[in-house]
Amino acid sequence: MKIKPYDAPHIRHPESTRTLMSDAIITLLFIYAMAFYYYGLRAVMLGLVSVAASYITDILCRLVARRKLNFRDLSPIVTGMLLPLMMPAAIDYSIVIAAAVFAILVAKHPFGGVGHNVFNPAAAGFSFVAICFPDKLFTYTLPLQHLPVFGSLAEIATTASPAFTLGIGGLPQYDLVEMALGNFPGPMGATNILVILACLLYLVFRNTVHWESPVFFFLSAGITAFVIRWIASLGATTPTSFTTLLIYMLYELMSGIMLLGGVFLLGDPVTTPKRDWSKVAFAVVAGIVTMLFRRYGGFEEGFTFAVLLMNATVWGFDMLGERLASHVRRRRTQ
Amino acid sequence: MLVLGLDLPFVIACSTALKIAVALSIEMFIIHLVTIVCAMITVRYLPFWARMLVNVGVSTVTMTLARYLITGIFPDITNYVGIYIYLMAVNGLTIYQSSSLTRKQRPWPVLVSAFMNALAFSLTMLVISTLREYFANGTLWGIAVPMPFKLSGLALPFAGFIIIGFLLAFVKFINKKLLAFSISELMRQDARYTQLS
Repeated sequence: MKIKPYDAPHIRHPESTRTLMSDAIITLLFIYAMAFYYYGLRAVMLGLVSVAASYITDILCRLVARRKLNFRDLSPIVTGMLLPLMMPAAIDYSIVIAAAVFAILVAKHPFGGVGHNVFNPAAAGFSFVAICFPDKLFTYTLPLQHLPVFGSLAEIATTASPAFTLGIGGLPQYDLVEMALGNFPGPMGATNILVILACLLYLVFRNTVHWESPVFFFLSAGITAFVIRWIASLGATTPTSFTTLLIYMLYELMSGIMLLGGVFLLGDPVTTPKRDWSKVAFAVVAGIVTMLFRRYGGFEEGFTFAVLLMNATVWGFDMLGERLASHVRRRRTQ
Repeated sequence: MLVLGLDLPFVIACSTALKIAVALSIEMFIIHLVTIVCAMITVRYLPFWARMLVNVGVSTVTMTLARYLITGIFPDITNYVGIYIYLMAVNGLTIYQSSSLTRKQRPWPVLVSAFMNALAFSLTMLVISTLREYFANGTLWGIAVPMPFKLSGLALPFAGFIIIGFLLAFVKFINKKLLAFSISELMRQDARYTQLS
């Protein structure tokens, strides 16, 4: 018998980075379809420009670092697709390019590329442009408006998003059903609540995203939002009813990039802990931190900053998870 | 590059404009060289604890004088640099080099080393400040320079860390290339010597 020696890993699994990324791309395409419906061809063009910028930057980084070019790596495409979805449809192409370049050049390749990055590239790219261009990034157009693909967008009507209204302590006046259908101003890919939830189901079913991360994140963020509102209402002359607090909580979860980020950024297997209980603890803390950033942070959208902060603590959650696992194992053997 | 990262806070926090970089570089040269000269004298006559006190005292007095000179050249510099102009008196580089001196060290190499350290600090400050001022504000030395769009986030401290990281990678890359070149040269000379012999 002729034996051929191969390098590890010897146990092969049908899931690979490529399949995980493919699943993410398939779901993101559905979100792009909804963005196309609400904002027209500009939404698709933004996605194409961002993907091109991410992919070219990725190739250049590999060439500079003298790494093997891997055209089967789809991670820059996922990063490129995610970035414009977190931004308004009327955003400049240059801002999208800046975010994509930053994501790949600063947050991904200096740490060793795909599978080694400490921070989520899309979150880093978004945070960078949020710091640089806050006036452009948090000014949203109304859905179902015709946006020109090229040319001036000066005459396009803009409005504040529900996240902004919540940030200043108000209650958005949008119908919850309309919000679930995505018919409200906000980031072009983050308003389609039902589509994102369907994507989450698909990703969980395909085992691309572990259910613990998004579920515990939304629970924790919702409860934190509820508690913050309840504490704020204690000093008021007329107490806020339980139903109003629940509506506040729903608005918080449905506005901004909470849902999109909770599914795609927090479900990233590279920048989240490895063990199940670590994932749960991570998601719970991430939910609390996100809501604190949203309420008390300087920006309308604090989700990506919270994610970056949490990414830096993943090693701690992993270490605690390992200790807990070894403790449980020792108990069982005794 | 910055001698064990001792003066990293100045580079991270203050390298946002070319004028600030020049002002702090002048201050660094004056404080560093004067304190090292003083340390070369005190190392011969004083115990370690007393030496440290005298060195810090000298650097503080020098800082006060240097500050007058700098505010004369750049009147509004204190508004931009803030506390860092005073903190330069106890900068890590000066404290480290003045405290690590020994009696046996010859004066000229020590002075050359001090000069080179101050020069390295100035060069780093100038490079990073130029990049940050241009990309964050679209200006150089306060004069507007054409720029398609400004990345104002680069003026924040986190961008200082990122730029330093990229500069270190660049320096490492150059060093690696130089090492590879010198090894190949040595091997070529060795091969020629073997052929001749």
